[in-house]
Amino acid sequence: MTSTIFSSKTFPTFYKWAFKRNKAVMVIFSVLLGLGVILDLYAMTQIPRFDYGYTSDSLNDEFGEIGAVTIIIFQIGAIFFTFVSSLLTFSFLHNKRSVDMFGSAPTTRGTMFASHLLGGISSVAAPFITGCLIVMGFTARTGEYFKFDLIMVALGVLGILAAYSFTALIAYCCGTVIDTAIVTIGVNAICGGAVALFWGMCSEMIPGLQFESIIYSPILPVFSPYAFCFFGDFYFFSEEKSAFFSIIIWNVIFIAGITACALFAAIKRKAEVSQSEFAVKWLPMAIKAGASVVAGGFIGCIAALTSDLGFGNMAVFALWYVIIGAVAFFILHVIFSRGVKRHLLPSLIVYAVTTVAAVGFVFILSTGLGIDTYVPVAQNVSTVSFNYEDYKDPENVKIITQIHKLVAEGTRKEEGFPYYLGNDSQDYYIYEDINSYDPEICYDDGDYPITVGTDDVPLTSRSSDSSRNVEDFSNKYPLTYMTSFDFSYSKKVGFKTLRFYYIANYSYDDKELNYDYDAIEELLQQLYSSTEYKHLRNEIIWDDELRSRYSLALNETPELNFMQYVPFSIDDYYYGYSTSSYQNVGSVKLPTGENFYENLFVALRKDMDADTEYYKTVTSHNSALLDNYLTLTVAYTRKEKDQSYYGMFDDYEPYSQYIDVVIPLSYKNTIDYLNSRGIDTDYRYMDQSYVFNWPLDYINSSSDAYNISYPQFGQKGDVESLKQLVEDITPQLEYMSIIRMKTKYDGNVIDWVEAHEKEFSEKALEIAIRDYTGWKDNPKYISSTYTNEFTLNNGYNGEYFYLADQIITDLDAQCVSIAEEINEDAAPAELPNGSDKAA
Amino acid sequence: MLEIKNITKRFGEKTALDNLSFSVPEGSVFGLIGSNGSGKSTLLRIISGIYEPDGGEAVIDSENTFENPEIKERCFFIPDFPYFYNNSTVTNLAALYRELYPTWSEEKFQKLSCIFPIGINDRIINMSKGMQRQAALMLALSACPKYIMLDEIFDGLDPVVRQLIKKLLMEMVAENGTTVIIASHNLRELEDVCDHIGLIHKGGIILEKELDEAKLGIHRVQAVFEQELGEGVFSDLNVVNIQRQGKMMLLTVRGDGETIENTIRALDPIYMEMLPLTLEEVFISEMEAVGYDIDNILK
Repeated sequence: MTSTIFSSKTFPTFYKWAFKRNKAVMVIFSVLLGLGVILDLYAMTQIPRFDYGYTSDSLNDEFGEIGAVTIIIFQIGAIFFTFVSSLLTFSFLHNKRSVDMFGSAPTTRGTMFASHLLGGISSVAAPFITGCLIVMGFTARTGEYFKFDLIMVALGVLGILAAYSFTALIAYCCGTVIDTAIVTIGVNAICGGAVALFWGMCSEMIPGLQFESIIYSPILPVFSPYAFCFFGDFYFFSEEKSAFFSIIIWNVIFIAGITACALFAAIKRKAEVSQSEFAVKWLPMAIKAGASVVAGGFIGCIAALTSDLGFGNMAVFALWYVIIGAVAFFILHVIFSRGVKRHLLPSLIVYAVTTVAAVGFVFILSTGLGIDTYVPVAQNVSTVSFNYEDYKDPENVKIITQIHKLVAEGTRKEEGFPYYLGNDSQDYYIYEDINSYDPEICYDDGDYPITVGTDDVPLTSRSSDSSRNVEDFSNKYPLTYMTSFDFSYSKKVGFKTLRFYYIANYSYDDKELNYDYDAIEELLQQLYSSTEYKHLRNEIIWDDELRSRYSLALNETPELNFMQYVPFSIDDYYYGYSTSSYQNVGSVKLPTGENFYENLFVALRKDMDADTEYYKTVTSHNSALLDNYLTLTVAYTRKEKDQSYYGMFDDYEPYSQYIDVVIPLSYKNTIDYLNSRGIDTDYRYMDQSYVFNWPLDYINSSSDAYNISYPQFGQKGDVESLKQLVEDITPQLEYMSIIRMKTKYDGNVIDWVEAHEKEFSEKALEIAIRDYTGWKDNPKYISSTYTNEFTLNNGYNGEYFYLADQIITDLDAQCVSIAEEINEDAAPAELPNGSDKAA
Repeated sequence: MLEIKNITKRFGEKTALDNLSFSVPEGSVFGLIGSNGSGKSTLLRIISGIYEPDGGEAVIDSENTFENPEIKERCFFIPDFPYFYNNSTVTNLAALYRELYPTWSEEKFQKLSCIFPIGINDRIINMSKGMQRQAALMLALSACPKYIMLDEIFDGLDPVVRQLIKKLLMEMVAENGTTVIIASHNLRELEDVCDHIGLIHKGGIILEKELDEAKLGIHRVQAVFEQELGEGVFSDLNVVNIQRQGKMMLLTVRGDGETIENTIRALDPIYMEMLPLTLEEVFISEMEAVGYDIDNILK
């Protein structure tokens, strides 16, 4: 049939006809896209005016981001014009006169459908693709952005295809344009709304289920093709690549399926329904029922969640559901039936049945449906991720299922049974508070999350970042806190089971909870004593978020393909930027051609456990909290970078890349090697007071839910990869900077900061001035350091912590004023701390 | 040859055409007449392949017309309200039909462009109803279809243009052997052009004949008798209608003219004349016969 449709000699005729029919849409869309391109160019010219601290690569990133945002805006435009254009294209079905004209034309209905569909799609897709390509030509100067942009353009085109086909199907099912518009919007909103509502209610009522998990589920927009592009972007830029690929695959299937359905509808549609009834009689009833469920459900939920009647909240839900559901149902009834009387009786019956079913279902949900106590059988589980660590060992899997069972039983007692919608029965607010970045909530009631010098495994602490006891290096139980349990089972049959429990409310000392702590603690200790736990794979090299934009540029470097594992996302960029805890305290020029990294690697290997391929170390966030660890940042500079194309940015530093290595001070071989290369690690020890911004890092890191979501560089790394990396980048090496952090504190960090506020400010100021003046004197060496740190001082992190914010604000003003004075006289000839100058 | 075979079409509960069958000879001009809502337009739409019948089929040249592009290339349908997009002109519609109809004649189009008093580059939507019909007809005639279906084509046209259209249709029939089916209530115009008529009422065919035969099959007799006669004296005739004005009687009688005349003459009238029947009178007579008359409507 398909070949018959497209080979028909009338196909091109009606394709052109449909294309021309959308001429006005195309012109308006093209004009708006053109305006977008002009604004893009304007924005690009404006960037340097605000900050001359851009490097060529960071400027590339800025341009790339402008382009990416523009393409997202173009996607929104494309979807809007898809809606308008598709209604226009298929409006010929909704007018008796045009049905006469097109129905009597010498072609088949299939050809008529396909030609109109493709003609209409082309009229939207052509300007969209053209506009995006123009924007990409200006803004996507790195391969990475080009790739991002291409994916977004592809998402946009897929979105146009999905939305257009969908509207075409609806158009064939409806008798009028207005019904088509309402039903199209209705189905898109109702399906997404119904999934969100259903999952929201389940997660609100049933312990262990998390509403957040649906956000990354391709089920949410599964029948909402108009939302496809945006969800696609969202999933693409998130780390939920599986959701991204799922939604892509689903959408391709969806487009094929919906197009086939539309073709079927086109062939079967009775021409006489135009300007009158729905071609599919049950459709208006389904829309009315769906709208009733979603509208009633949402308002009912809000009413119940803000009530305080215990299980009586369910009655509140039912009452509001019935009222709002009826309003939504009968508003649509009046629109579809062009009055009240037509189809009133069947509508009343459908409304009654839907309402009884929906309210009844919610009451049934209050039993937990067995989901609340369900724990997979250990034998059926292939791997389980428990609090973000993966376990395969059947013994450990069994332990984790036992923990899960205890937690589930405790939660059932804790939250009360039967479950109900209410503001005191769900975890959402706890989640919010933990992540609110609000020091008042997190710290002021005196509970401080870090346990000191203990082998205990405290189960109820509200907030912390470190997965280790920071003070007691010998602590054999690395977890110092536990506010939540996260279980992610991968079953042997291929399915996953996810459960997440907040097991504590705010109070650290709250012993009224119904958990069997002793049993859980015992099981945890068994787990942490296991060989598997000790050898869990972690990374020793990672991308430094502070400089993630450089990493991005690096991905284009063919010889460093390994680095393509470097994660990059919008989240990394923005949040990573604000988590610096580094101070650059010096640099060493390395002899050209020396296999520094390779030798460093050899030294590292000697220090590593022989039987361990991966080293259990810490993440970059934790590094600020850890004592006895050394962070090396190796910066190398590419010399061959052609900057002519940047024109006005000739003075900026060349292409740089930083890679961090964290080792414990117990790594004697490594440290000896560094010393042998003239890198005096002891000399570069910083006093804790130099690390003026580490409280910021701490606060930022205290949002454990956030930190855990960080992608870790080197997920696929192994020793061979590391070795390869070392070999690859050694020839590129020109400079190496050593970063050392040493922090010590006793007890409450805030107390310490407050006690040392004056000293803190002075030291910070000293560092800032040093960097500032150093940059002036040695732009090629220190510009990137300057850029990042001075920007940091400018208050990027201030929003997270009131004390640091105040200090930084004061510091910034002093720094600028003093720096100006210094510049007027003479810049220091040398960098402090014995740092070498650039060649 | 166009054949309507047992076509049934329902719109919901309502049956618009009920097991309708007749045929239209090739090269004829077929007038489709009937009461309002009798199903004329529906039938034309089925023939044109717009509506799918619920039963039966419309067959042209031995093939079903529905979803049959090859057959539809030979047909052109002008509905009672022709459709034009806002920016449609005769020129751009001609460009469309030129590609759709292999029989399109550019020469004819140019010729018709000169004949019809309309601007071929003007937006049709801004034209009067009559001019829009002329535009539609100009395009239809240029497509040189083998079958042309016209629904109320004479509506809104002035007498001169009506004559023009009739002339052009006649020429097309004569030159190309085109079969024309015209659904109209304008029986006067149909009478001029049609050689066949079909009378539809309530979805069924009442009459389908050559026009002359139809007219010959029913006669009006004006006769004056010396004394008033009862209606029973005409029991040998198939009288459709009798009107009296004193001693003068006006009879509408179905049957053979000669037989009717002989029968009435045998009653020894003072005066007798066989009057010619117009198509409208035939229509009214036939419709009366099925109970569709003013008296029945007023009841």
